[in-house]
Amino acid sequence: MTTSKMDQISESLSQGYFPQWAYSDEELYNSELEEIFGETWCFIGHETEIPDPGDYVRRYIGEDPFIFIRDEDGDVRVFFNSCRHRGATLCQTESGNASHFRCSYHGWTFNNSGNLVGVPQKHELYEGLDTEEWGLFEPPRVDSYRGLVFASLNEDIPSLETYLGDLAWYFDIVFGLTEEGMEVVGEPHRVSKEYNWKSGVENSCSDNYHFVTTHQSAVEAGAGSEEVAASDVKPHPFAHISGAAQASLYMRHDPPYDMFFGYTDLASDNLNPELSEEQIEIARNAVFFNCAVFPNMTVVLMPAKASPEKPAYPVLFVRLHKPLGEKETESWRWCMMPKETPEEDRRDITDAFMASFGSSGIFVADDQAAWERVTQPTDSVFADKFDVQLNYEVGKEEMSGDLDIYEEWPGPGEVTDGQMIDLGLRKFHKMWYNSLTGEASPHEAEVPR
Amino acid sequence: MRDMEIYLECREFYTDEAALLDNWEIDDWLDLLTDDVRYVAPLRETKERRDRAEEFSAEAFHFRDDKESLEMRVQKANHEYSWAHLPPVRDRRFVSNIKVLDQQEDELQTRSNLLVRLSERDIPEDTGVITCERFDTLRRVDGSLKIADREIFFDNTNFDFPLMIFF
Repeated sequence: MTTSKMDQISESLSQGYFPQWAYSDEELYNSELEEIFGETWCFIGHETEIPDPGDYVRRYIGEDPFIFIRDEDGDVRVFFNSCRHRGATLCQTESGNASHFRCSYHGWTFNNSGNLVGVPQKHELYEGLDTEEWGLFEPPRVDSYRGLVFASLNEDIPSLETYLGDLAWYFDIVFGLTEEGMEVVGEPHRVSKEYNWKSGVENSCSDNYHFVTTHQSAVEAGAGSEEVAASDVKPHPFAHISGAAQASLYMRHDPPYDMFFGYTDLASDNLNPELSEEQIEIARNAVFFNCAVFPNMTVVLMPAKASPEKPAYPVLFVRLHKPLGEKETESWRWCMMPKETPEEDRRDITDAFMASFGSSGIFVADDQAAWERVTQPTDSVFADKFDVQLNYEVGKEEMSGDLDIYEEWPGPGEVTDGQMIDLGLRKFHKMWYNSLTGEASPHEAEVPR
Repeated sequence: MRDMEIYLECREFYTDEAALLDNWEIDDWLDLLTDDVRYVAPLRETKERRDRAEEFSAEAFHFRDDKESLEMRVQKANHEYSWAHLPPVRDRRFVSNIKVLDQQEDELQTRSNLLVRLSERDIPEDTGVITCERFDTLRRVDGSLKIADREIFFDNTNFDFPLMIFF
């Protein structure tokens, strides 16, 4: 990366701006693939997607292909989807169950623990081959938290729990709300569009500002939930939370109210005994949660409806903005719910998820339209020549006054008291900058308020 | 001759239905659906065999709609600020390979292919084509055919277009 490009970016970030050209710069994109997706913890999938030995799905780190599989011993594994012989991709199917993978070219065969167990005519052709040296490649680090599996190509990266910092405490509340925890239901929805991956992630960095404009049509058609709009509900975006680019919780302020994000009885009857008093206090009054985990994984938990007359159901979904190029991204969305969810509610929750956030989801379609529009002018000569800066100044002192910190917050991190801020977006940019320059770890990103 | 009459009636119905959707007369399209309509499209994954039971999901759907949720989608699409529909895509439907599979007193089961060609904005290379196989139950209501049930099996597993039109 040229120093002058990063110097220009640094100057912009210090003012609460972001250079328009930086979204779709080809050199930056290639650096992102190496320095960001090639170095950080990247979300692979959830353990509940591969419940039985041999179960597998295809997943990616950046654009690189991997197999996410449970081996015969029941352990979760991640393998580079490339035969060790001549490199052909081994797994051609999106999901399934396999005890072995046999390459179509010369028949080299690997078991689902990645060991090379079959080399045709080995005695005649490969007598000296030590098969133990030729097993499938794995990323040097694979780790999970509450069933969320991440992999990293950086063998020195801190543990996932360390990397998640304060966010891990909130993941306990969201993914560990009930005793058995959350599970994925159904295959992920995948829709690509011409937007840069960063634009998608920014949406989950507490960009509360966009909601009323972007989602007006979906809300007025009846997809919105009254719970989020109730008069005593306040947004609390984090002014500081370690581990995340950003997180946000919406709380009801008229307790006692056993909301538990809308899970109500399902949560209170099956509450995880490991949760602390403070975690339960937050969960009890919570209506909405979202966060962005650097670089490109986001979580949303919010009430949604399949149609106006139906009740709202809590919909938890994990999203990944998989980069396909400087101006193209595929959005993956997984629907999740507590394992204890009764049969009659599973369908209702899935219906609510699909109507709002699936591939025909009326909420996400408008988001993707916005990101596409943001991405369109980014590779213009004009943006480069005139160094066009995009505005991320909400929450800066001169824009919105002092940060209104909510002092009674019982959890880690610092939350604002109902204030809209771009602080999370500025932090995401700084994390991105740190990763590209190597000046500091992404998690040491601090931004001026 | 009776079978040929039924076939021609179905073909006319599908031609008229496609014209309504091509011309964005989506409120009128809702009138072609029964009040208890089920309108679904399961997700598809690339598998080892071409086998509907294996490839298509039992749990995940691109949409699993009833009359109320379809009305919600139409209302959203008609909204002045439905950004996903601005500018509106120019979609055109080609229904073919129509087959009447079975018939009862007031219902028919049909199979058809649908090809939708999409033209987006002013960029020719944004042209998309979406194809699918549809299995319908058509019900005779007050003398006219209406869609009581539609199962859509897309050829694509993933899309570069949010599925904000009707198939």
